[in-house]
Amino acid sequence: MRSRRFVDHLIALGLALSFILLTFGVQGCGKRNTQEQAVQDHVERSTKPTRRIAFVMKLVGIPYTNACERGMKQAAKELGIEAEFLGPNVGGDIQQQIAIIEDQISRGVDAIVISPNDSQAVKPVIEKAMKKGVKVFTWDSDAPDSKRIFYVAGADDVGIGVDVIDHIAKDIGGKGKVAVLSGGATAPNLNLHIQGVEKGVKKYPGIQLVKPYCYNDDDQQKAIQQALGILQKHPDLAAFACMNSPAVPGAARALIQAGREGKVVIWGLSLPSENRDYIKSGIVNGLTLWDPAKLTYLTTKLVNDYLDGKKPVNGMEVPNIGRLEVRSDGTIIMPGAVITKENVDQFDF
Amino acid sequence: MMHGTSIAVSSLLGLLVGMACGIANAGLITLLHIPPIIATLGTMSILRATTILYTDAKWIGPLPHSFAWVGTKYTPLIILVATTIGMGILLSQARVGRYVYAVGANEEAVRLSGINTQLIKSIVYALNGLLAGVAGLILASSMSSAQSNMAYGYELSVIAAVVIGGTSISGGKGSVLGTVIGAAIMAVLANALILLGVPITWHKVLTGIIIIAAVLVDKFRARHV
Amino acid sequence: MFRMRFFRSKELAVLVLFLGIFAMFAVKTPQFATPYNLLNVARQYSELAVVAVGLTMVIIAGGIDISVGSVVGLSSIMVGVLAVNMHLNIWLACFLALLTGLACGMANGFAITKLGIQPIVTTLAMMSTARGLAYVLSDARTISGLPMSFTGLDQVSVGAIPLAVVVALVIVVAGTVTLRQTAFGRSVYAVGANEEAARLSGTNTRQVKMLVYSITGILAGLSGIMMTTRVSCALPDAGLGFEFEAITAVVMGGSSLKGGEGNIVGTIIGVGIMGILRNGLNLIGVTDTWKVLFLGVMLIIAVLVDNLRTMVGSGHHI
Repeated sequence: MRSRRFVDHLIALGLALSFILLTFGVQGCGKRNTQEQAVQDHVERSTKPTRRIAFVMKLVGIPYTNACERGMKQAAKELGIEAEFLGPNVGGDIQQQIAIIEDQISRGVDAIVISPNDSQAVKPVIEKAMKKGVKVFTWDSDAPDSKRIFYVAGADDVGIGVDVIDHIAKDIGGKGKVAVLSGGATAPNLNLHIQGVEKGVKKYPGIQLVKPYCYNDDDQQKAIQQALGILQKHPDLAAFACMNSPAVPGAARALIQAGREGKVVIWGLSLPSENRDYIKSGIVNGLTLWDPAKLTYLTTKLVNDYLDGKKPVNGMEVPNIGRLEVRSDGTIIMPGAVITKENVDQFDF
Repeated sequence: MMHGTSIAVSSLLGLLVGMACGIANAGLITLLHIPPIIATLGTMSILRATTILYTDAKWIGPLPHSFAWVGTKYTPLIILVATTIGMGILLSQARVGRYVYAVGANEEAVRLSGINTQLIKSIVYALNGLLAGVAGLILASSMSSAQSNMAYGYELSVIAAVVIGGTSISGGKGSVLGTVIGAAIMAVLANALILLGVPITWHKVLTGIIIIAAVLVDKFRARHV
Repeated sequence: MFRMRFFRSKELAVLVLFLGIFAMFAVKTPQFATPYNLLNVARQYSELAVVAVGLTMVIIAGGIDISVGSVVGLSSIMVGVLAVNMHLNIWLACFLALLTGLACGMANGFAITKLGIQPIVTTLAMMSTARGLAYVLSDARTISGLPMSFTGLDQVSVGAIPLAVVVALVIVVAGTVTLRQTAFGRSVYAVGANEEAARLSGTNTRQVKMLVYSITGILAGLSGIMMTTRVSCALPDAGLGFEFEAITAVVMGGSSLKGGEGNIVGTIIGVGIMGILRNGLNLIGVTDTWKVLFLGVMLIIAVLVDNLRTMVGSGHHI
């Protein structure tokens, strides 16, 4: 019996020790930006604490979010502040997102910028943060009736949906069946894009939206399967209206697999870098998007300015970005782009 | 592939890694006596996390055009048919196959009769890992990119397919063909919902019902045979 | 006599692990060991703790239940659908949500005991069906508009401790007392250790199993309600991933999946480890992915430790 007890304690201690060693090792290579580590070390030697901003995205690990992260890091480097890019590993997981936000509050960061998976569920935690003195902003996707200070978007969320259906209408001659492919069913920005599509389609009585819409939760494979299903059900489908970035290549691959490339029009919100080949070969007709790196870069700068006491003003010009529209409800819109075969090589995002 | 190796060699390495994972699982289960469900739950986390960390959560792509044939048109179907025939023959005709059934039915008896049960189990898990690798190649090819977050939640769909196909969770019973039929049912279900215009949200509910129905049918048949 | 048992138990090993991790994070980052942060973590993991209590009982009885997470989600949606869409009194809606959890648990129990379907298959089917129902009823969206009297519960504290944590503690104590002191508790262990022997000695094994699954169902229902107050809306994805986390906590806490062994205190320490692990890593600035990695490793090590102990203790190979 005694030896059993001893073994217990020994093993538990050994576990704890190895765990400690592991984490020390992890911290070394876990911190993704050694640049920020250097900045932090330098600043810790001086007396002023570094400003810290945490970005909590809907998810991490797809090209769109990687581009956002690049923009954030660029801005952080230029401003000499510390910024972290966080988010759940699984698309649409609002619970994990809330937990990450709560931990950032505990961490005592100066500001949290969120692209929420759900605009309602995130309200309590935003309020909690603001009460604790942590400033909260949203970008990419909004929580409109929460306590967030302002929202930075790459486009008018509804307007871009209208744009998509307008482009489609032009390419299909104003009539035909159009299928809507979207990401998370509760994602606020995506649902606003869909609203835009529904609003814009009223101008074209010859266009019929296929119901129900498909939601791929930002999973590339699901996007392809759903697109294939739609093609099967509606062999006379005229176009795909794609609301999130995996949906465009998803629809493109579905067309290739079904041997229908070129027969169905594709327009949507996705990155040129993901779709360059498809656009050039004509499978995808065009994209309407903003540069997510630029968007996040801009957001980082605007948040930093706000923390310095400078509020964004309607019509302000930002170098490298353009003119910003600032609305009274706190929405800030950056100019976007329409990407087609003609200009696809101009864009590097 | 990231480091400049040819896609053919990388694919082969991918398959070997799959098999290695299978063998690792086998080691945990047979040598260290960890219950399979825990061992594989553990390795599931470890592998998923390692993949994400290794790729820094970025997708690797686009993959070379020469690789595209693996995942498009009829190749996956051919691979499926070949695998089914191959594994089916292995299970039903080869001695190893019969041992697999025996171990599932009564492991202790098999061990006592002198057969190396650890080896049998290791082969099974290794094959499992290898086939998972093949599936990974097909998926990557079909999307022309290697994604660390792909195939989330596949384990449960796979288990559902296996159960629907008549394999018993307690071991000793089942067939490859049954599983393929089970998988086909799952695929048809998803497709049928879209064709019928039923909202995708019903998919999970129907999957659950089909699982129970399949198991009950199986029990009913067993009792009345 | 109780103290003697404690020092020899597995729980001490897990406790030492917990304290080790705690100490390490406390040293590494100043924000970790603050009351604000720790209470936050406790709050975050209250829902999981409640579910884990039920799951511990199921596992001790020799079963398993992977549907718990989905039942949490369904319960949350029931609150939303009943209170908002159908305008029922919020407290009635909560009660009905609890009943829904109970119904799911009883369905599991029925399929396992009367129909003879394996627990993993039954709960796999329930997992899919419950989550699916949650999506169907809510059209995969969150339902907001819950009355303030309900959502305000999230802010309520007993002293400095959030109400949810108190609820979780009450459930933990109730569960521990049930398992240790009541005849029912003893029969749970007996059924898990050797079902046939238990049956032959007169225990109604079917009833015991039915009860543990039903209890787990109600607790999942309760957890769903708690989650709903936290996010102030009914969440179809509530409880996503709970089954994996809960099983990890239960196994780390010393319960054996073969049944007949384990206790709730160990499970709760396991939940605690998961909580401070995620929280600590986040505070250091390491991504969540590492937490997944660590959990997988710790799970395997926990079982290995258990096997080692059995080997050392009994002196021969397992």
